[in-house]
Amino acid sequence: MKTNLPKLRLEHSITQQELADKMNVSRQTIISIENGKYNPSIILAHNIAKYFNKTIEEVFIFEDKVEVKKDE
Amino acid sequence: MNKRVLLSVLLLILGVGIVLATVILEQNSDNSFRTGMFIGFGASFIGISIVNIIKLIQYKKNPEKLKKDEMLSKEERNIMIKDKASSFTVLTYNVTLAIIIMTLAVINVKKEIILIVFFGMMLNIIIFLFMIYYYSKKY
Repeated sequence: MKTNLPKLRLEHSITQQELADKMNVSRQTIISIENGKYNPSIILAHNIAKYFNKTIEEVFIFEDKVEVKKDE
Repeated sequence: MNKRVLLSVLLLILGVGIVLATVILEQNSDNSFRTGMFIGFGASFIGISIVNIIKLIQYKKNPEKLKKDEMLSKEERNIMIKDKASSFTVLTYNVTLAIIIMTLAVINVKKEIILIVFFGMMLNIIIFLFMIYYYSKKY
């Protein structure tokens, strides 16, 4: 999953460590999320989005691997 | 925190108890393998408990470190890493046991020893399957 997190952090002038402390996770977790190596839980994603006053979709870019069937 | 202190002290007592009991009871034993094994177990219990006690003393002096370590142990990425590592360990453990059983059979070790290892492997597989069933019902 791709993310706008580095850009948002830069805009808010907050370091990875500071964000990690606020989210109660390790700096390594923030690094892994930014590198797209780790997909955060819905709670962490929600908390990060809330911190930046954005929606989850604005922070994280979902790549559709599964086609969701919609009712016609 | 108090529970951890109590557990560490109990482990220390257990370790010292095992070492002392081995030294006293195995004084005239000619089975040096058994004596060594029990002393090894006792010594490792003592070692683990001493490390834990030192850690707890450090936490008392530095509560920030305790807070940080507790956060790291509950952190979602670390939990995921531990879960994946545990799952892989179970898989390789059973494969290793299967190889050990076949090796024991090839080198003609007593049937009873092979059966003990075999039941150990089976028990592990049964617990694994039971836990899959349990968690599939829970979630």
